Amino acid sequence: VNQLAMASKFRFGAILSSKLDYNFIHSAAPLQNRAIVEKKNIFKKLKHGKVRIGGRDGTGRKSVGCRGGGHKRLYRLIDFVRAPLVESGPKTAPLPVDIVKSKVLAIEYDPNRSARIAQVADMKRKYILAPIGLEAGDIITASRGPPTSLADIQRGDAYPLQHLPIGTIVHNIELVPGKGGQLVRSAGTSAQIIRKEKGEVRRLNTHGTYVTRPGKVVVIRMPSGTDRPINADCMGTVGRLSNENHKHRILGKAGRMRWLGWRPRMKKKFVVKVR
Amino acid sequence: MHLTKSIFSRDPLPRTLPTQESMQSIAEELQGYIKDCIIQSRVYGYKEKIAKRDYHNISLTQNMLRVLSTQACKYPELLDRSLTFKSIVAGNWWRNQHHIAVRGCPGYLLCTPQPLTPFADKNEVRSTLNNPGQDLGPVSPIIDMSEYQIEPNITYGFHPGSPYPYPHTLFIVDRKTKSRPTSQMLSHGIMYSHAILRAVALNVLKMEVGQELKDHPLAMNTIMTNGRMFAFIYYQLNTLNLEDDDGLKNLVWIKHTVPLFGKVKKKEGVIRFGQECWQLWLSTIINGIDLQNISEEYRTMQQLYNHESDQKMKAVA
Repeated sequence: VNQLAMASKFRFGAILSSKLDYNFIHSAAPLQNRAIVEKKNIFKKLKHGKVRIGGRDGTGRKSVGCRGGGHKRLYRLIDFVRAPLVESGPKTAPLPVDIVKSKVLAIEYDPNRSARIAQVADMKRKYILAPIGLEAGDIITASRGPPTSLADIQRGDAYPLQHLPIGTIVHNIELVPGKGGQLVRSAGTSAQIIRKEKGEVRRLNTHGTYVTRPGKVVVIRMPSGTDRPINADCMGTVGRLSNENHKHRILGKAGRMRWLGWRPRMKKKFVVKVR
Repeated sequence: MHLTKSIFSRDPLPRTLPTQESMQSIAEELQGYIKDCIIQSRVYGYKEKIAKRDYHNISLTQNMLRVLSTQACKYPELLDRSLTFKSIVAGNWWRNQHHIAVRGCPGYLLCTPQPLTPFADKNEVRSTLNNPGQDLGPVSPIIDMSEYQIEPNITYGFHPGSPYPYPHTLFIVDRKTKSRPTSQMLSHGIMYSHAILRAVALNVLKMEVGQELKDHPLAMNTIMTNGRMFAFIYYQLNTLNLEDDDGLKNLVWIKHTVPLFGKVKKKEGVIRFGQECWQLWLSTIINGIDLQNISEEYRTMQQLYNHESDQKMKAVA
């Protein structure tokens, strides 16, 4: 099943319900776990088993090298969407926009990513990516509409990029509205909003295909230093991601890489190219 | 607490409980027997190497009640109660557009022919009107609850017309080997006690849903154990109207993580016996009995005993 069709299913499911019963599992599921996600539509628990791929693709042959082994991991279901997308058609009246307020219960460790995750509760229990400084007891908001006031924006809040002021530091940025955050999700990373302008915008069509149309664009400076234009309706979470000392860690021995699922890597001069 | 529209009272414990001075004689008499009960449940009451929570928990509670019943010659009202082992509790109510139900067999239920005197005065009950209640914030109160399709029954295990209709205490005995947090146990106790009192108000007193119990609020106790730690809940039902946040609220007194003893060894016996726990346990179960009203039979027996012992002493002399 195509990832595009999955994204389209999510989007129109959100329009029909327009409430908090969205299925955030369809958002940005990693390629390796697509098979597991498609089987189970509704999860009762937030963790499930993860198959260790080892760099092999659907045919069973090695497509990526130096992968294999490592400690067993349980996959945590993360909410990358934060607020469901609600769009009305051209002939219908505009639907109300939901404001999702939730309370942080605890900050936990996730073996599947470098950043930490936060357990959050409103109508259900969820996991989100934890920014620096988020503590248990904080209340965070997310909505597809504008915030009540710019002074109320705190770390952990998620709003569309067009409603955030220029200069704010964001993470977990969407590329397609409603699909879920895809950019800037690693530990200690952050992006900055530079300017807002008009340009070509990428959106999902009703048939599930990508379409470029003129619209509002927000230019963002990525952690690599490059500037990237993004659809202004895409969501971004305010703040910098946790575990900023991740890049300064010292592994100490080869065995620690093996625990993380990396097999030994040969130097380039010893690699023989097979024609 | 939010689901049952209940709030904490100002006092740590209810004032209508019997005081330590009035119970002193009974407490001193029975303390030795209670220590024997503990040793029997923890050291001698099983064949395996370690006492499982199933055995020592249940045997402790039952033996403690039997030890208390030895005072029946002095206070015959102690035996004028019924103890049921598997009372089926069922209740349901509407709370802020959520239909909540309680089902289960929580434990042992001690019932009396007359209701308990309410723990709080009318003034304190009236002061709950101004209290807004618990603020949960964005977290919904039904977050971890699951939906089921069930019949909307309201019972507490007894048919109408039973001789012991009013509940006195509920004993919840934790039989799981993994230790549970006290907050989980306390929520069990509050929900079950509310459901039981609701069933009594609707079935016995013939009240209607949405009514307030201004003149005759209902009260009951719950005692929860895991074999060593005890928790005491005193619940008073003031309203049956839980749809809104306005009006009277129900009152709760809680005392949790009270140890009955520290350790038990074969040679040394009970180490660090919990006086506070023993006093609380006694006061909850004796609550409702007039301690000054000793039976005449006991007095005559005491006089006879003294008379006989005097004669024997004289004969020896």
